[in-house]
Amino acid sequence: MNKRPLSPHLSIYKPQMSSTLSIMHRITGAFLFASISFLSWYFIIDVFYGINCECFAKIVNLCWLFSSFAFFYHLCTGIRHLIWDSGWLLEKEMVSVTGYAVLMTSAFLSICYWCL
Amino acid sequence: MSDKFHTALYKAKGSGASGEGVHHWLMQKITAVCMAPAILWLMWQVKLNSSIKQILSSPYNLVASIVVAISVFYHSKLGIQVIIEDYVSNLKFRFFLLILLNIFVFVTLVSLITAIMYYS
Repeated sequence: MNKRPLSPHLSIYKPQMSSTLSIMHRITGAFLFASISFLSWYFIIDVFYGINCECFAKIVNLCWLFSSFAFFYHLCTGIRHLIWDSGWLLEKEMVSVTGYAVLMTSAFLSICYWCL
Repeated sequence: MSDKFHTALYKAKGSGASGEGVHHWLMQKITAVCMAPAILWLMWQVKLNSSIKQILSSPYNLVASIVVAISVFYHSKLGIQVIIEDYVSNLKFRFFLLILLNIFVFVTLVSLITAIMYYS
């Protein structure tokens, strides 16, 4: 199959609130899957064999930190999807309002979780 | 498309719509709604006392952990399945990745529940 040339798409399209928040929902979802798998296997191996190497403790703590940020963002964007599924707040202005609301709520929840 | 226009080979190869799309979408939402308060509760428990043994000593936390484990792996399995179906164009590789995903999620889930029960 000949690879015919494509016009530029991702490299030239201006990133917008709607598209960026949507792809971040997918990326945080995939990241949360990877981190829950990693943390689960760490727990499983620790329970049955015992992990004595100290190097993993830092990685686990970092993973937990980033996972909490990703989780709060994914939670807020997920609630936004559920609100859309019920048919509410689908107008163009409300989409950008809820977009800002999602960013501020997830930042607020992350700060509350780690600093209180 | 009516099923009588599809040949047996077409159906055997798994081509065409599976008819399960809406069910997966709905299960994604339902598991999300069930999980959200349980995960927030468990995250609060982790913040209160960082020792997992102490957290799992309470029966509420034990049941919540297992409910969350099952829901998380079902929810994320559906999500990653959609990502694989979206971005992998080679049909054989996509099929292989989907089988690998299902086996991995099943093995991880069973091991995690066994480890939680063994630990507490």
